[in-house]
Amino acid sequence: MKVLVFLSLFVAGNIAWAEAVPGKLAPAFETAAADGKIHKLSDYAGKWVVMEWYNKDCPYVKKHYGSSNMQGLQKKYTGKGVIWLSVNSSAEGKEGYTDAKEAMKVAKDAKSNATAVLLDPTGVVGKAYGSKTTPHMFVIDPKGTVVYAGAIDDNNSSDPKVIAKSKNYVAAALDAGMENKKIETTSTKPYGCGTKYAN
Amino acid sequence: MSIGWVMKFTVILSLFFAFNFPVLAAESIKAPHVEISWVAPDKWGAGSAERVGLEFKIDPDWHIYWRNSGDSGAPPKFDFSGKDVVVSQPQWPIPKRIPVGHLINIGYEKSVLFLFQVSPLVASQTVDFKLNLEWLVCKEECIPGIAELTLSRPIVNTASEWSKSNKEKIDRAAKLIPFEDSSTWDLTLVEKTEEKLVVDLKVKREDLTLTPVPDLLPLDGDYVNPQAPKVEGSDGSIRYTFSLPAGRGTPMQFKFLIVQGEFAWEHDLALAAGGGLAGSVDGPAERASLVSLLFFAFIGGIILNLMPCVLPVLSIKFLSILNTSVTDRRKEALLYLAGVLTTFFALGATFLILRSAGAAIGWGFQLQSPYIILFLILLFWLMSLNFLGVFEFGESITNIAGNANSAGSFTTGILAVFVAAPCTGPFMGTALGAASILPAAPALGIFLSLGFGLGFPFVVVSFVPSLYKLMPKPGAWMERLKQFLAFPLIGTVIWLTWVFGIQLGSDGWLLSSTLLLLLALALWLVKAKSRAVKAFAVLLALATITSGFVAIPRVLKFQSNAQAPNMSVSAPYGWVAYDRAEIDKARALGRSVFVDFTAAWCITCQVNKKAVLDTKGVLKIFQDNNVLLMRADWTNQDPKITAALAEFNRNSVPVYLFYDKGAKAQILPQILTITMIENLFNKKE
Repeated sequence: MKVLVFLSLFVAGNIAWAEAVPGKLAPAFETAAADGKIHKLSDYAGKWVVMEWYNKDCPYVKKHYGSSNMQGLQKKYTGKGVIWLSVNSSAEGKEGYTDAKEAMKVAKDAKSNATAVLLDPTGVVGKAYGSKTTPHMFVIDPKGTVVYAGAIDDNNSSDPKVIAKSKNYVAAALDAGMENKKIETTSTKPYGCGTKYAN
Repeated sequence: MSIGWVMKFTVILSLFFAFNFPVLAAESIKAPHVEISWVAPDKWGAGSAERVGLEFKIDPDWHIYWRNSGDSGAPPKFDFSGKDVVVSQPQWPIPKRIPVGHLINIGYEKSVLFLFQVSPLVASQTVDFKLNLEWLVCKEECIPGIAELTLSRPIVNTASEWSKSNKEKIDRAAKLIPFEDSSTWDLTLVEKTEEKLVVDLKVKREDLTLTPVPDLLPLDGDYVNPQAPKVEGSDGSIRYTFSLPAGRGTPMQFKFLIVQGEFAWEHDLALAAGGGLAGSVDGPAERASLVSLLFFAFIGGIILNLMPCVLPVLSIKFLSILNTSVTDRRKEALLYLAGVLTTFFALGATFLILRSAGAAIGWGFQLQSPYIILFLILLFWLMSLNFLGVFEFGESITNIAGNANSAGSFTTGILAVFVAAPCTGPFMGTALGAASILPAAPALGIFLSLGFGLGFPFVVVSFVPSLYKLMPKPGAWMERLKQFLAFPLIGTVIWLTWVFGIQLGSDGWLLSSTLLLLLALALWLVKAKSRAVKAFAVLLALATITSGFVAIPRVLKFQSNAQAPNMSVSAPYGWVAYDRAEIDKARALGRSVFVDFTAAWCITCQVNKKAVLDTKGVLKIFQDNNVLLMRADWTNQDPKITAALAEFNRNSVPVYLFYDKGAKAQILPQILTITMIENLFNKKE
């Protein structure tokens, strides 16, 4: 019985996070973007949607923006009709927080080709999706089902040099999904900086 | 200018060189929030392997990461290069959970020492190597770093010289490295669902208890969330419930770090006998894959019919039904199928029983026993002598594989399975590999599917009249063909004798050959008219067989005393025996590795070896690319090799692994070609 005494030490608060789970419907949201427009997931029914968690100061985000990898993906897939939403869930006072005006400037300076930059300083969208890191990536099919959730690629190095040799899971999911082929990898462990929610 | 001034200048100058050269050579670095330096001997004893530490001093409130970094972050990456020195994979000290905001990270605060085993390869003046290091240090925000550290130490002909403080640091750090023994804890799977993993922990050793309650950390963050598990328990057993990330599936093996106080153990999660990862078979994806596995097994079984070990037996079976009525033929076919299935079922059941008893075995395990090999040698010898007409069985006794007869057909079925074992054909590897980890029912299903595949062509020919009509008409040619088929059988005998020789050493070869001679003599004597001679012949045959089996353990014992190496399998240039640590070392140094999982009783393996792997051309390619060639010989039972195969979802040979410089393992097809090997190296450029 003495064992039980110790148990309380170990029972951690396992907060049940709502999550965007591959194979299930993506959580609905309605939130403002940097350009002042309101975006709803339902606006994009019938289209492929990519959700990319973004934090301008995170080294792993810089890995993919500094190398123009992310902008390249955004350009390629928005060109094919994909809706690409960068989501900033950094709370006010935390790393990477931007107000609407600054977000527009940052996006412009970074030459972002995202459809929109969603502002989520309250973390409502981030927590609904279970975004743990930046960049945490989600791919949603035209029926609104999550078909991929996880890392952007298979190399969690912060060194941009590895990008050329990495397997990009988001591109693979979009390429396969848009051709009605089976998506090989639907869930991976995301890597990067923790998403900077309010405490 | 006074002498004193010159002295001072010289002292300052020498101090400058003494203290600043190491800094210039970047043996340690300061970066934001971390200081990184070597903990190494001052002088290196020639030929000695030393534990070298890489120390991170971390600012308060900041942390770096364990191999499983948890929800975010990334472990440090170590990329060693250097001539003539082998550096092991890092040994990771015990980490802890570090809550960061709403996330859990797993890592280290304040300071940590990663340890590496460093072995200089040849006698040279210095130990020199370079480490390309990448790390991530985080508080809430993160700062990545990339640096190149060098280490250079003179080699001396005495023992290595350590400064006292460094030696103490290494000794302290070594205590924080997890043990890898499996004799301390019992960690078993209770349940796995989409959301959670439940495991039970018991203690095996008398000198330990479950107090304080050990903590469990998943080694692989891809499959298990880093959050502390829910812990429930009573005396004797503690139950941990982990939450799982959605949609990641099931790994080959869950591994955990069991931490109790200052000690830790790396431990595999054992699958409960029969139960296994039952939960994982429920998902539609897994069920679909079970169907495809069953299909692969079936196709694999059909292909087995064409394998050189099965074909002669089957041909004789075909001959025997040429002359029969439709009903007889069908009955024969079904009996044959029943024989095949019964044997596969028995093999499968034996396999599962052994598995639940904890034995590490795999397909072909029946051929790892010299008793079975000897049995097969004698059986094939009898069959070939019979085919050649050296002796005839009487009307009342059945020809083992030939005459149409109920018992004969059933026996042929059994025989077909036994002789099929060495021929792992295409499609079988995946299916059999899966059978080794699936719960009992689907695993047996795979065995039976193989059986259906093996029996299928014979049944089809017997039941479909149009196919049967394609068969040639019976005639005198049958006797000639039967005699001819004795020769592949004798070939099989030669090959099995070779296997037996490898298992028992050269004495085994002598033993089996002598048995063959005596048996042939006995069978020839049986034809004599004299009753006494006949009786003597029977006695001789029985005595021969008995003494053969009785001799096996003696020879085995003799051999293990003599430590006789498996000369015939450990081959010419380059190939070394399987050693996991050597693979890790080579990979750490960026050297490519090729591993040949083989066995003397595996024909496909031998063909690949002779036709591809041991050809001059291929060896030259390997040599030019400085590939470490490793041969894992599974002729005899070897739990290490079975475990290595299991890592790649296999439990049969051949398996060919190729680790391209530092990259992950790539499994090559079971039938190799020289071009395939060439392509491994050409495509890189």
